[in-house]
Formats: sequence, C-alpha cells, structure tokens
Amino acid sequence: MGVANKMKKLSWPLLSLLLTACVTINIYFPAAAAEEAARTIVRDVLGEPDEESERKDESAGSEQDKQSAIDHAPVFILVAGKVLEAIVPVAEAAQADININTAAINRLRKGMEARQSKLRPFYKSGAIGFDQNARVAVRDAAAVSMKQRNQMKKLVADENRDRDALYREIARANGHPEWEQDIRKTFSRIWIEEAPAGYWYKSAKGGWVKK
Amino acid sequence: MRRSNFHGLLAWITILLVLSCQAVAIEQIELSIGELQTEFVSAKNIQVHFSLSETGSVGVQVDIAELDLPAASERLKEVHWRCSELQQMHDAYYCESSRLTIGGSSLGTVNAMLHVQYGQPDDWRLKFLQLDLPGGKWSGELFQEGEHWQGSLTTKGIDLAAVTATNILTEALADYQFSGSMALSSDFSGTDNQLQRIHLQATTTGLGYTNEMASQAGEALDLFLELNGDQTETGWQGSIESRIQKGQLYSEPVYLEVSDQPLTFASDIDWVASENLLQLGGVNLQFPGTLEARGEVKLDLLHALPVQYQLAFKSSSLGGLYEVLIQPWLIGTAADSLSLQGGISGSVSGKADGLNNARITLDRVGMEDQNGRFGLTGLQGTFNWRHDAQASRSTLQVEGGHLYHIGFDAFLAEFDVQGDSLALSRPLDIPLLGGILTFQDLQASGVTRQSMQWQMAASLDGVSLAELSESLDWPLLEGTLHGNIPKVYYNDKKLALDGLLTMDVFGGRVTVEGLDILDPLGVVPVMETTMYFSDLDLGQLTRAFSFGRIEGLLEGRVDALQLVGWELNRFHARLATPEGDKSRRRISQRAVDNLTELGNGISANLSQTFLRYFEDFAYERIFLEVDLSQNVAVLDGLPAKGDGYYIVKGRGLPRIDVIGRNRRVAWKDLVTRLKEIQFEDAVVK
Repeated sequence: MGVANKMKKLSWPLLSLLLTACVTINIYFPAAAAEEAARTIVRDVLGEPDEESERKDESAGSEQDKQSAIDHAPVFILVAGKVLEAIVPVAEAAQADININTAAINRLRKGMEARQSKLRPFYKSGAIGFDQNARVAVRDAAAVSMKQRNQMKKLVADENRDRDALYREIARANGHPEWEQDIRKTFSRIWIEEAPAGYWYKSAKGGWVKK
Repeated sequence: MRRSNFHGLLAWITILLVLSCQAVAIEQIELSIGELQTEFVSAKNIQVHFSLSETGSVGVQVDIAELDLPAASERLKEVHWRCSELQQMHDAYYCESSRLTIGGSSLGTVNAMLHVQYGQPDDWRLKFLQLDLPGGKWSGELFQEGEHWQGSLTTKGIDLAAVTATNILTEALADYQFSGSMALSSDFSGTDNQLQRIHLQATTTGLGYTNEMASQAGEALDLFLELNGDQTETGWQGSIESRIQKGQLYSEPVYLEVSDQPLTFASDIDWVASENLLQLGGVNLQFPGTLEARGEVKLDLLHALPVQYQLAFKSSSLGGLYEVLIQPWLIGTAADSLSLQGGISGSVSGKADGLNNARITLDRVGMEDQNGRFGLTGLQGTFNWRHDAQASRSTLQVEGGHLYHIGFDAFLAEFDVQGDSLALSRPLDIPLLGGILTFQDLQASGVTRQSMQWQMAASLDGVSLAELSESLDWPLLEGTLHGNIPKVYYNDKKLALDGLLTMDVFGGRVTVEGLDILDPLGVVPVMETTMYFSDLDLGQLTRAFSFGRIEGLLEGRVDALQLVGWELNRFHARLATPEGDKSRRRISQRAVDNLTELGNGISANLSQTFLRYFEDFAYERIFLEVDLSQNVAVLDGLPAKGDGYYIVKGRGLPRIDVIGRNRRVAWKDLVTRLKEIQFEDAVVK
C-alpha cells in the first residue's frame, strides 16, 4: 500500500477522464463563434437591426449556448474538459475563433452590402425571401413588375453566388473546408433572425412565413 | 320529327291562323312538344304559342327548356324567342324584330335582337341586330342557302375582364386573368354541319394578362391579329398575321417591350387534324432592332412541342438580342453580365429530339464582361455545329481581348464541332505580352451542357515579364516566360495545368509546377501552385525592386501557394543563398537599412554610424523561411544563438548580421511594412 496503489486507484478515472475529454475537444464546431461571426456579417449586410430583431437576438443568445455539446454532457465530462483545456496547447484552443477578416471575405461582404439597397424593395414587397439553405429565393414573382423581374433574378443569382462563396471562404479561411455546411446552417438561422419585420422566410416545413 | 315535317307543321299552323281570322275567331294556338330531334339539333319541353293581334298580325312565342347543338358542343337552357309580328311572303316567313333570350349557355346569359327569315330548312337567315354576350355587344348574321351557310360576327369592343369572369375560357387558359378590350370581326362559312372557311380580325387595346404563376404575362398590349383558314381533307390551311404595336410581354424568362416599332409575325398555317400537327410555313418574325427570323416550324399541338423546325435569323444588334432573348437564359452563369456589340446571323434546324444543326456567323462582334473578367473585340467568323452528322469546320477571327488584366492580340481559331464535342483543327497561336501562347490538341465535351470539360496541351514562348508585370501592376520585372504544359484541363469548375512553366528572370529561373484554379470565372477563384527559384541574380532582382543592392545568388521554393480571389492566402516559402555559392556576395548599406526597417520598423541608419564609410558588406548566406496560414506568417532563418534566427549571416569585417527575433507576424502588418520597406520582428545586430 503506498503511492503505487494510490496511483493504480487513480489511473482508471484519469484515463476515462482523458478519453472522454479528447472526444469533446476534437469534434467541436465553434458554433458560438460561428454564430457571432455570422451575426456580424448579416447585420452589416442587412443594415441596422430593428428592435424586434434585437429582442430575438437575446433569445437567440440563450439558444446559442445550447449549441455546445459540452452543455449536454455529464458533469464529469465537463470537469474533464476543463482539465484538458488546461493541458492542450494554445493553438488547439484557438480553434474556437472564427476568422472573417480575409481579403476575399471582405470583398464578398462589400459586394453584398452594396447590393442590399437594390434587394431591399424586393424583400419588402415579398417578391423574395430567405430560404432554409442560407440563400435568397424568389417567393412571388408577380409582386414585381414584368420589367423588373429579370433584374430581380439577376440580383438574386448574384447574391446567392456571393453567399455560397462566403460560406465556402469562411470555412476555408479557418482551415476547415469541411465546416462549410455547418457555417451555412448557422447563417441560415441568423439571416432569418436578423431579417427586419415584413421580410419573408421559408420555414423548416417549406412554407413561406412573414416576419 | 324530321325537318320536312317541322316545316309542314309550321305552314299548317300559319294557314290555320289566317283562316281563323276569316271564319272562326281563334286568337291563340298553343303547341306543346315533349321532344324534338333533327340531324343538327335536339330539344326538350318545347312550348309554341301563336297569337293573333287586333290588327291581324300573328305573334309567336317559343319556349324551349333545353336545346342541344351537338355540332357546337353546346347545350342551351331556358331558350325563349318572342316575335311580335310574324309575316309571310311567298314561301318564307319573316320576323323583322324579335327577341331571343337564353338563360344558360357556355357564354352565360345571352340576349339578342334578331331579324329572322325562314323559308325552308336550307333557306333561312338570322340577323343579330344586337347580341349581348359577356363583356360586350355583338352584331352579325347567319344564313343558309341550300347546303351552304355563312355568317359574320362583329364587336367594337368587349371587356376582357368580364370575359375572364365567365367560364367560357378553354382549359388551357383557365388560370389566366385578362384585362383590356378587344374589337373583333369574323366571317365564316360552311356546308351542312361543317365549318369550311373562317376569317378573323382582332385588335386589342391595353390588353393585359397573367397566369397564376405569373410566368406568362402581358401589359398594355395593343395588338392586331388576322387569321384566315380553309378546311382541307386533312384539316385546315390558311395564314396568320399578328402585330404587337406596343406594350410589354413576359414569357418566362424573356421580357419584351415594344414601343416605337411593332413586332410582327406572319406565317402560313397547315393543321393536320389526325396528327394534331400544326405546320407553320413562310414564318416571318420581325422585331426591329433585335431579331429577324424566317423559316418553317412543325408543332405537335398535343404536347406543345416543336417536332421539326428550320429557321434563318439575323440580328444587326447583338447587344439588343442578348439583352432581350439571350441573357435571361444565362442568369446565374459567368455569361450573364455581358456588353455586346456587332451583328449576328445564321440558321438553326432541329427535330423533336432537339437542335440538329446550327450555323452562326459573327459580324464585328465585341464582347466585354461587365465585371471586367474577360473581353473580346472584332470577332468575325462562322460557327458550324451539327448534332449527329460529320463534324464541320468553324473559324473565329479575333482582333484582341483580355483575360482579367492580361491582354492579347489578334488570332484565328479553327475548330470542328460535332454533338457536344469540340476539337481544334490546328494549333491556336495567341499573341500574348510580346510572346505566343499556343493551344493544341484541344478536346472538349459537354459544350452544349453546363458540365463542359476540356483538355489540351499548351505552350508559352517569349512572354515578356515586363509586359506581364505592367499588366498586373506589379513591380517591373525583366525577363521572359516560357513553358510547355502537356496537359491543361477543365472539369467540374476546375482549371488545372500539369506541367512546368518556366520564367527566365533575373538571370535565373522561376519554375511553376502544376497549377489549379477552382472556379476561374467565379466570384472567388482559388489558385494553388508550387514554385521553384534557382540561381536568381540578387543584383538584378534588387535593382528591379529598388530595394538596395544585394549581390549573390538566391534559390528557393514556394510550396502550397494559394491565392483566394487573387489575394495571397497561404504559402510556405523558403529562400536562401545556394549551398556552395561561389559568387560575390555583398549587401549594400541601403539594403541593410531597408532590411532593418523591414525588421524593426525603423531604419538602422548606418549612414549615421562609422559604417557609413563602407559602401557594402560581405555576407555568408541569406536565408528566409515564411509559412503563411490564416493571416499569420511564421518566420524562420538560419539558427542563431538564443531565440533569434539569421536572415542575413555576415562574414568578414565589418560584419553585419540581420537576425529575426519574433517568429509570428500578422500577415497584414508584414504586407504593409513590405510596401513601406519595413520588416517587423527582425533586428540588426
């Protein structure tokens, strides 16, 4: 009985702790950081959020916490995570940040911001709205004069081209091209949350809903 | 009851009424017929009421509960005809003024003022003094002489919105809403129950229409339509002419606006009833300023598809044609933002399975992408395409153009196109930046689909780096670029070069090995490549960049070089003096000052020290390694004492070493300082 026995008793819980903690860290998609990045971009593109959006933002903030797998984990995993957090290198912990400050992303953001004033009347009239794939879709072409319809379609095509590239570039800029779908999913929710009242979006069930 | 019996009955009733005036005071006769059937009509619950007025005239009132007209596929209900004075002259009966009301029909309620003349079943005349139908008033007449019958209908203007409100539109138009008014006149004739000839003229004012999906719509359309048709043994033959004077049309995705000059369409028509096939011959479409087309088209009306067509077309304004008819189909592609000049002509033919042949001639065409990605000027030539026949030769002469900022001069391309394949018939030489870019063995497939892929061999010879650097707004480089690329291919939005591009520059050689560009014409192209440098003369290089003279040789490589949106995103570079370099290796005061400034943000100001007496200094080796990733550059050099690293390791006396201390630098800061000739995180010892 002595130090060796004590170590033996401790070894299994320690091993379990490390194994569980490793899984938590390596598979983690920085949902909160991605959401923050998405919200920054979406607000810049759409313009000033209205009060309603801000209220929803608060509730979204609480939802955002639920994104972390750690929150759903048992207490001992949380503890294990904290222990491991202390021992993993800084570079690993840095994965929680989302970099949206690259030349390509900035160019895409500027293009989308510049286009917004042209898209806004179509959003407001209900001719177009946000779909569930973080893109813009034509909802009611009849809400637009015949002369403007192709102009609107071109704007929508250009916007979607930029949006697709934006999601791809954010994933690439952060060294994880495989995150593109997660980022798109995050943006999909944020576009809808940040959309001003009167804008239309496609619900998960596929129907159009007016905010 | 046969029609001769019906006529006999009418005659006897009249005689009876006339006699009754002289003999017995019969003032009214009523007949009730449960059911009446003739070759053309059947009726149920017929009530006929004859009355004699004090002046001796005979009035007639006919009420029919239900009247079937099989030839017209029409069932009328509550039919009432009132004639206040029925007259007889010779063998015919007249009613100068009578009123017809129909309670129910496919047209809704119908009211008409009629002039009726009836002699024999094959000798009668109806004149519609006024016919009230949904949407407006009509006039016209219908008469029969022997086997032949003839009629006309005219309206000065019907309210099309009111017509829409009824159920008279056919199934194909059932989900359409109409507005505006239409004037119409028509003449028609036939024999027995067969319509044999029709002539129709219609003029709309402010016609508007839209279907539920808004995919088909028109606004404020003033159009004229004339249709002539004669029945043949197989169907109908005739002609159609239409003219849109003004207004707007939308047929997804095409939008047309007609204002100054009308859009006209004329054609002979031949409808083969048994096959439901409509043949349009002598088609002539004129859309001034946009398109002229002539030819023949066969349409399967059942499936609303062309089964055979042959059209010749011409447009003196390719820009107008693109804007109206081409660009709408290209939205979402790299070709949806073009500015075009010049003219185009050609012909197309095809069958039900699609386009079979196309011949397109370009006349002084200019093309410029509005996003500045590419442009071509002075395009002349003929493009021949066949779906399944032997490949035919196409030629294209180009005066010049540009791809992004790189311009090129005139060239002639000859190629063969067949189906969805395209092949160069001879090497294509493109004068480029003082040299020649040659493409050969081009094989492309899927050219008629969105999934186009191609591959070829290419070579570059004598391309001036001075011109290239000027085009790309780089510091002036001297030397030439040449290379042989055995395989250049494009597939799934990726352009890839397998092979080596070499640049003889600064007395040495820069080699580019393999190059991939993802989505080259997209919003964010991504380029990846690897570069090698060998025996670069630092003297020439530093002179070109006005950096301050450094003598010696330089070699190195850049791995995993990635440009995103043509901006540097990632690379791993290693530049060094070659091992065993025997050349003179000196670094000037200015270069040291600049390196120092790059290193710590401020100049070493050697000119203010005793070192100002030395023009330059000997060095042993230059070594710099930069690893850029996610906006952070990690720097390294030759091992030095402590945590530093040599960027320049001096030798001799006086000895100058340039040593970096910090290894991580924000890329943006590094670029800013490079532009200002400063280099952070390195210090001069």
